[in-house]
Amino acid sequence: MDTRTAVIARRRLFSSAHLYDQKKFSREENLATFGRCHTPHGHGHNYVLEIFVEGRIDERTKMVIDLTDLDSILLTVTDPLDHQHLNFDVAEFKEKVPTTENIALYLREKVRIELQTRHPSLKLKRLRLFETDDLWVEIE
Amino acid sequence: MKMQLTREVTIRGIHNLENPKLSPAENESLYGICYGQHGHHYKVRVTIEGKIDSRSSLLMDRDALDRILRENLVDPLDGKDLNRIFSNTSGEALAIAIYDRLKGPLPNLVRVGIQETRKNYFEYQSQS
Repeated sequence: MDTRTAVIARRRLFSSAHLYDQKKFSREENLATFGRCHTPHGHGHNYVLEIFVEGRIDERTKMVIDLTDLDSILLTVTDPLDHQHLNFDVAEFKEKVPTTENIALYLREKVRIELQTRHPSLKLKRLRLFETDDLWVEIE
Repeated sequence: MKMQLTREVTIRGIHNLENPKLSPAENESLYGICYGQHGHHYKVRVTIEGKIDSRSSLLMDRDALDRILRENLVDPLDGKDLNRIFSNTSGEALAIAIYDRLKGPLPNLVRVGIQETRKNYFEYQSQS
């Protein structure tokens, strides 16, 4: 049996609104820390979540994971954020500031839980969250 | 776990590959069409690595990062003849030269990637 592992990556797009606001800060502190990202209503992004999943190639299917399963995981984790205002509609970010870094950490935890439940032998190797085409966070 | 933040900027530059110690015929033979002056829209990907600041929840303030990149990368190089600025402008040499320029103002810098064309990509990864 081939014990080597391979990696598969898949993306999903979701659109959300957010703003940067630290409740314990004064307005001046918020503006100094977050600049134009601190506004009453916020702004939106077309986020792109990209996950890299590593595991052995299945003997029968010759795949690491069925793309449909991977899409289902991506949908499960992004659906609660898609077309929502992260600060107002998502419990996680009522207190925590929805920076790209924090959203990436949140999604990483959710993906790991889904993988653990559905495919415990697979590992989340890397996660990228693109806020825009020219700015992204990567966790490995 | 390690976390990285990448910002991509565009540099429009002209260059050619040339070793000034060689004759035109030798350069032509060594570098082929790259010896002729030409330009690229370089996509330069600058990656920093570190911990999230507990106060701001950011790896680094975006405006501060953009200011450093504008002052040290975009303004000095955009629209310029890169051969007048660097001794060699191969993608590999540029990746290292840009890393060296940015490491001072960006101590958390770990990687410079350069997409020279859709087909060519170069990368220098911090080796310390």
